[in-house]
Amino acid sequence: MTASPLLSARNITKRFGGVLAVDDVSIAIDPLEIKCIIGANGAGKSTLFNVLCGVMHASSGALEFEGKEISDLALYEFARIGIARKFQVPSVFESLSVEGNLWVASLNQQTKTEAAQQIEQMLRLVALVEHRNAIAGTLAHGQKQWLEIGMALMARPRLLLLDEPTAGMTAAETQDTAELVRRLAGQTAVMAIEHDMSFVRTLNCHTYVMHQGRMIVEGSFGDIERNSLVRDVYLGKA
Amino acid sequence: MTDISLTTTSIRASQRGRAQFVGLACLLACAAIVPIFFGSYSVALVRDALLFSLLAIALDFLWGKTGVLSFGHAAFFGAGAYGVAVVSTSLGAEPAIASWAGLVVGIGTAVLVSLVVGYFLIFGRVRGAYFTIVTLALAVITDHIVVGWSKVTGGNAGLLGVLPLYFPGAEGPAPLSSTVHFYFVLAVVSGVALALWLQCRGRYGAVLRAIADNEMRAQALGHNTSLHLLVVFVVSAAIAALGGGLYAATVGFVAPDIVGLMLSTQAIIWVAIGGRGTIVGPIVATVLVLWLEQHISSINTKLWPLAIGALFISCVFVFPNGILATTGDLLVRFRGRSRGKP
Repeated sequence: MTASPLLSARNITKRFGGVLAVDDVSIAIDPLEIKCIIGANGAGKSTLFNVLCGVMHASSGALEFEGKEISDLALYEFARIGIARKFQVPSVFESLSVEGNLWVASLNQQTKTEAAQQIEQMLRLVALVEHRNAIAGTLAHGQKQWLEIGMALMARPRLLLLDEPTAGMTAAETQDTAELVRRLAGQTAVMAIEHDMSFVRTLNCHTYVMHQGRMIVEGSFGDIERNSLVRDVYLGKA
Repeated sequence: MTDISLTTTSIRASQRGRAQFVGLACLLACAAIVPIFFGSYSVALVRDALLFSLLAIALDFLWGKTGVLSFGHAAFFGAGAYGVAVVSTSLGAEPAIASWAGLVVGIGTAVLVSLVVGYFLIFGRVRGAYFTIVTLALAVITDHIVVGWSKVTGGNAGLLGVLPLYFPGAEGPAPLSSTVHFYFVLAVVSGVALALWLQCRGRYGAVLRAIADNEMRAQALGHNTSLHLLVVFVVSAAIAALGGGLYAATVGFVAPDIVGLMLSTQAIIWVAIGGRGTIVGPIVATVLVLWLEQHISSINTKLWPLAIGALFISCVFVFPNGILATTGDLLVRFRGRSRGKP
């Protein structure tokens, strides 16, 4: 018998009035694993993420983290048990400095010295050392994205959910971000939603494909790239 | 909103913190010399203004730090004032303890009311303009209670003969002389301001700012934002009640004008003019505005509403961050430019 997955979502359905945004989706991730979810706009990826990280409650389905049912927890409790989330639109705290943003993201139970040390590490990891005193609202788009990843990592999460981490980035920045995510392997499990195929190709991980609220295919990225159904979905035939 | 964020970005966070501390020190020094150079009328004027500034500080802690605007803070100020007035005039308690007991009752009432109202609003996810409107209703309701329940509150006439605070002395407990009382008030105001400044300087201040910026994001980082907001709301109400209670014990009477919507609105003007989130700014603004009010009204009573209106409008357009922050901004820019020269 294999060890239980870190996070397992079974038969998740999310309805908004008459719209079925997520339709009976099951997904699981093991500790330290990296997985990607791809799919066209409106496929339900972000809604699925919203359920996985507690922003929304599922209409039906079961959600377990380390074997415990968590669907009834409040949003802040999701963060405390070790699920961190980077939002699609960079949502750093615009009026705080870069360092201030990381302070807010540090955990309550850490001492000041521990948190300060970790902030130093994080500033180096996301390449914002020189910008530590800059007001976050003045950062470039890519830097905001990285700052937000840094903030998500401050709590030392066991699962990091990245919602389009490379949206709006240049090709070089996208590659750097993929490298950053690869470096996280061994520290935390990562699940990423992505549009950018070069990013997913660099990660070369187990990939899910969503289409119209349903999970239609899963497999290694190589398999997915060769899958004719996926190609049809992306070209708008299905 | 955009020009607000642009001006704040020009000053680094640490500089702003230091500027606030220097501002508080300057303010203390200025206020401390008032009894030496000015007559008893001015001393009383500044003293009362300082007591009202506790209401401004309370509102600034809530509005300036977390972005939640309450239109009902005069209700808490009034709870403190009427607590002292009712206990010291009608319950027949020992004069030495009557006003202190009233202060405890007043602050207790404010804490209880803010806890109940705040719990249902904040945990019920009421935010933004809706929160402001409900607290506005709170001010109106309190006003009606005070005017309507005349047996206890004296109705429109208010209550006269509120006992002063007694302090232990060589010949038993006695009220302070007016000069010493002035310094007592100054000490309380600076103590509250300093405590809030120290508390909000580090991580806690950043968390409150984060909640003001994007509450959902702060939750996603593991912060129980509703609990944070409730604590700030209750502490803020307690500070307002402290101001009200001390005010009643100082001036010796209370009337319904210290609970209603007018005072709530004035408090908002003081904080807006002084600069939201600066703690020191609202104190300066309260003293300045009340001083101006006295002098302009003595020329012609009709001039004051015009003047305060003009001041408020110019504040919105010319100093969106308040007079202090704008002056500080200009100073930093000026220094930066002169340093940049060869």
